[in-house]
Amino acid sequence: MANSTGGPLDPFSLSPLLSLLPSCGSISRLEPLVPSLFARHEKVLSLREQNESKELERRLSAEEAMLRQILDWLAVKPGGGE
Amino acid sequence: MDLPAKRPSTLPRSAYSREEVRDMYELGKLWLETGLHKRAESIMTGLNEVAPDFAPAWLGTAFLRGSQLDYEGVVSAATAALRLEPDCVEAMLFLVIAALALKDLSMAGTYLGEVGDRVEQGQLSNPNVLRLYKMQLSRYQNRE
Repeated sequence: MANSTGGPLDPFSLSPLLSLLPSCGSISRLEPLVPSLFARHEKVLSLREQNESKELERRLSAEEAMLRQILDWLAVKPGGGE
Repeated sequence: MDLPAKRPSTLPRSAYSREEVRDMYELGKLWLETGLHKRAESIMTGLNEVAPDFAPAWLGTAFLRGSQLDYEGVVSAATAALRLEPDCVEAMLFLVIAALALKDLSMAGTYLGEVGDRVEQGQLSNPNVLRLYKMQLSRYQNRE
């Protein structure tokens, strides 16, 4: 994206608050984690079936949603990479 | 919103390594940068649950609450990050922004002072964080 003078837009001018989020990992390292993330997802599903605690259900539900998003993203990456 | 607290004993204490947590956070951050906030929220909320001692995910949650104009939620999430990392200038700035929106000038002034001290000591290395600090300082000084 360019600004009115043809130069690149400063990302800060689009969303200054994003600059408050540190960078501390790498998404390229997620792909080798697919088997363990998938296994954990299965485990969480199993725990949810057995669980009767509302508090634990909230936590497991949040974890499952996170894992599902990550696994979905990894599955749709063209050629296994983006 | 729940702050970092004790974990239920039925969950493994560390289902994820710190490196895995960082990499998952990075995907959530990427989605924030590309405007996919619902997806990003799944990641940040999940990380808040599975790694409640990981401050960056609390900052991600603070960002999301701010984008929803939920400033009490910003305070809650940024406070959680600051509890984990007491020198976290980014968390302080989220608190300033939320405090100004909530018209809590006492809190805004307190955290602006904390950040200002670190600026004077040359502790801020990210120029964008410095720019944001100056913007908030200007908002505070020009408040009605």
